[in-house]
Amino acid sequence: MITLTDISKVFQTKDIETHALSNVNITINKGEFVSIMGPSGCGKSTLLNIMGLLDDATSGTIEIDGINVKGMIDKEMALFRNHKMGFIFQSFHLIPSLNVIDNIELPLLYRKGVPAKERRERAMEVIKKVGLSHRAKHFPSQLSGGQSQRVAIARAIIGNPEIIFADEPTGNLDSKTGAEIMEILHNLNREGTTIMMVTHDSSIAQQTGRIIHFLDGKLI
Amino acid sequence: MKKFQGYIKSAIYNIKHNKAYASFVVFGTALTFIFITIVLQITNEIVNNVPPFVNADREIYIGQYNLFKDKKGSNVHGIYHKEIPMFLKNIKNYEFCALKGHQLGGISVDNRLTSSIELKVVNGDYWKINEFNFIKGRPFTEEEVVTKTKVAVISKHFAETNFKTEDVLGKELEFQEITYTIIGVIDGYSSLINNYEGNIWIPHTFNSFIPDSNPYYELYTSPNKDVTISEFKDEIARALEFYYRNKSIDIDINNNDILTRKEVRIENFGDNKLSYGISIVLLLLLIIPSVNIVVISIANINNRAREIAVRRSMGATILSSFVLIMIENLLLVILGIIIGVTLVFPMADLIGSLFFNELTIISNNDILLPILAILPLSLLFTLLSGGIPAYLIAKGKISKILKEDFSKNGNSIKRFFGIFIEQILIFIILMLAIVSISVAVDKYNEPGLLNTDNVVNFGYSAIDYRADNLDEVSRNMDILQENLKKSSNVIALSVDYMVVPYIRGANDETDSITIDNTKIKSYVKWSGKSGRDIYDLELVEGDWFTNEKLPDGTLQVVITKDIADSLKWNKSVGKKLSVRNREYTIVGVIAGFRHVIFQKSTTPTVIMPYEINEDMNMFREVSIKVKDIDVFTADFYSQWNKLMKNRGVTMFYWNLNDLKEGNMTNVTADIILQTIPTIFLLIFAFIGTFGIFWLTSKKRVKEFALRMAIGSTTKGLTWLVIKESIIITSISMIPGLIMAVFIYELTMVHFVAIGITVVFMLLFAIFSAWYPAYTVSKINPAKALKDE
Repeated sequence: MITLTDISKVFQTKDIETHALSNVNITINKGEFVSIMGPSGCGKSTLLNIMGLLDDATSGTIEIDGINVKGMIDKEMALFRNHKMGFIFQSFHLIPSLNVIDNIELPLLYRKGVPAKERRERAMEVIKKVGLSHRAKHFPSQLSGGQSQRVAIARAIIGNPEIIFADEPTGNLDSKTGAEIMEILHNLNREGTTIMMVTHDSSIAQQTGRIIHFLDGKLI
Repeated sequence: MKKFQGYIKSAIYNIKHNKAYASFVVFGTALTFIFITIVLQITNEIVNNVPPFVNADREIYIGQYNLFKDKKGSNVHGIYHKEIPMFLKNIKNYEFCALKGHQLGGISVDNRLTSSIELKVVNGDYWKINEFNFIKGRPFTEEEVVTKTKVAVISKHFAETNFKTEDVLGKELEFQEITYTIIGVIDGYSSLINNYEGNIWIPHTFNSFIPDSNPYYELYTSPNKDVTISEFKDEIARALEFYYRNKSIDIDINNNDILTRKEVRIENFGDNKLSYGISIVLLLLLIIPSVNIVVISIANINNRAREIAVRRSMGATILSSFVLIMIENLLLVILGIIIGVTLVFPMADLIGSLFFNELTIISNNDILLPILAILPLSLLFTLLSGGIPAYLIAKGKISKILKEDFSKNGNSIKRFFGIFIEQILIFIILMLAIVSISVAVDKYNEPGLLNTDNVVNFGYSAIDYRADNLDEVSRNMDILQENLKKSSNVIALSVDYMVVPYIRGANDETDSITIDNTKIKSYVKWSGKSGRDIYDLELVEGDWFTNEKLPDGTLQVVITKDIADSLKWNKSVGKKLSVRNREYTIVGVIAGFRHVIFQKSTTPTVIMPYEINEDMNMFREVSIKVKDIDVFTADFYSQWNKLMKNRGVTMFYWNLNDLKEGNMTNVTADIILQTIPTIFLLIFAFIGTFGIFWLTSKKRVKEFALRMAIGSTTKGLTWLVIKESIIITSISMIPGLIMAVFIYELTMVHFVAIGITVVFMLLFAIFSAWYPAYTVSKINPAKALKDE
């Protein structure tokens, strides 16, 4: 589904050149639940961002569903992200001005041809799935960390993405809530969604189908 | 629609949660548009036919003095008043010809003298060629002018000042012992750019040409509708040539020498000032606030940037993200513009009342044009101020923004770059303004300025110089003077001739005096022994004169220092001079005597005792210094009515400080026109510097807490913030200082003015960073270091 070939990423500052990724080759198959592990600064989030088209690689090619994303313009990438991908962040990144249901609906707003009624129905469906129907009208500031992450998951899955990128989804949560979030992700994976997850926690990583270990920007 | 609602919701949420930032933008925008509207309206009034001067581009102006030069290079006066009908006969295609003159004197209402000292004498066409807004009544007609109907039109300002109401139709005012019935009241109009049209208008047929013996009128003539202005100019040029040829004056004029009212306005205002000055001011008025908003926006970027990055990760494009931010900016700008446009008239009135006397800065006539111009400008402003931060945010790397800790960027030098550029501009503009003011103040303080505080000049002029009762009139005037002198309100009184400053131009005719067989052009004036005390004339040598003859039989005179300097005299007292074949001895030298306040050098002047002037029963000019002018005015008027009324003489009465103000108008208006945008820019620079320091200080809380943790004192932190502000300001002054070396002669005045600007900027830097620095000193390090 996703094939990375010779991906390198170099961060250049005035004096220092940092090689975040060096010649990374990975293939992610459809329906996989893959976790990426490694110490801080090893390049795992960078890899996730590159795969999610949130960042670009310095060199190498990325193919998603057989399409080489190199050279895509902003509009094409936006379309790609909107239709094929969902994102879950460690800090949730909910939009504070929007209530739960509006936050969840957001990806469909950027998708052409989805009527308001359908958006609302689908939002209600996914909010039910994450068990937060009773919080639909609440604002992010009124939610706990676990609830915020559930909203973020609902937002990530409302557009039926083929792959979800989760960057430390349980990083800001206690173990019980973390377990609940993992349960939701497992359910999504069982329904056929591919999941790429960055984590520090080996016990969490152990629950996934494949673990990719990273060190100093390289696969080990 | 939903997407748009989301944008609005998001914008409103952001505004609510960033009130300080939103206030900066709204307040700044409002202020910007107040000044932009004023500048546009003033420009509109210069270049367009704005009421009351609706024919400004089709009215040919023929002035009173220095109209043209003849072939010998001498100045040619305007059309003599009695010859105007004859002159007009040679202009076939004129539709209207307005004539306007003025007269000075005492104008009374309800049996008391008013503070107004001038009225305009006009004809019927004056009201046709101009369209004044009559809030009450009507103008007078040509028939009323010709039949000498005693009617007057007054301004709303005059009505409110003297009658305390606008409902004055049928009420009366008196001028030169003629009572006029008020038949119309006109609304205020912008008189900042246009010639001051006055407060009171009467038919010109009442013009006695006393005391102002100017026999010329200003003429404004417009062509018939089917005649182009160029054709009409040709016709006027031919008519003028014909008129002067009949007086044996050869003038060589053509179409280009004939100007319309609009062209005169542009010429007076300055072609360059109009073409470049206004454009530069407008540009600055747009750019400086925009820079401010940009830097403040960038300082306030974090929340917005994160939201945009999240939206983009969900599928939003750069363009839609840009639109989202611009909507927030547009909302703030619209709110600011609404406030600005609503406040423009109160602000203009405030500026008018603070800086000008009786002048209206902008009128509400034809406000539509500037308002229409504001729409595209507001769009430009929104794009300038919001576009750059919006683009930066929208274009940012999603992954980087989502990871970024914005609190680490508080001290980025880039953040101060906008403020730095802004302060470069502010320093230059402030320096130009302060140098202008200093040069004007320097000229003002040149020797020879008369002290006219609480000084009144009054007198009479006989209507018929051969009347039988002139001796009686003169005696009554003596009694009036004696009666006034008895009042404890009177400090000093002096009978003068030709002494009153400011009503005569620097180009007035001079006498020729002879010293050591050298002829010198000089003014000759007559004054009393108290003359020096009234006007505080500064003696640099000798004494003021007395009326007594000296042992050699000569009379005493005082001269101005410039005469002594021109003759390279070290000592002047005791030297002789002759005026009109009579010899005098110099007993004193005064520093100078100025008729035009901002004239750098004084005018050579000789002052001699009044008593030697012989033809004095026809008129009298008295200067008087009093403690309270209002009390004196009432006393004087009561005495005048008892002793001088109905005796065939006209009264004149003026407060010399009013004349002084009038004399200063052009220069002060110019300075004020520079000062107003400068003040605005300073306010804006203050907002910008204050805003940026405040917002960045908020973001640097952890840094400051850490500094405290490792030993900094609160005073040290306060100084740290202020020091940063001072450094930015100091560096930003360098380009302006380099520029000063090239554009100024760098006299002491310039040095002082530039020094004042530097001190001002440093104070500005300290004050704008003071509050942010104060808030920094209030940080609780334990809490700040714990807070995420």
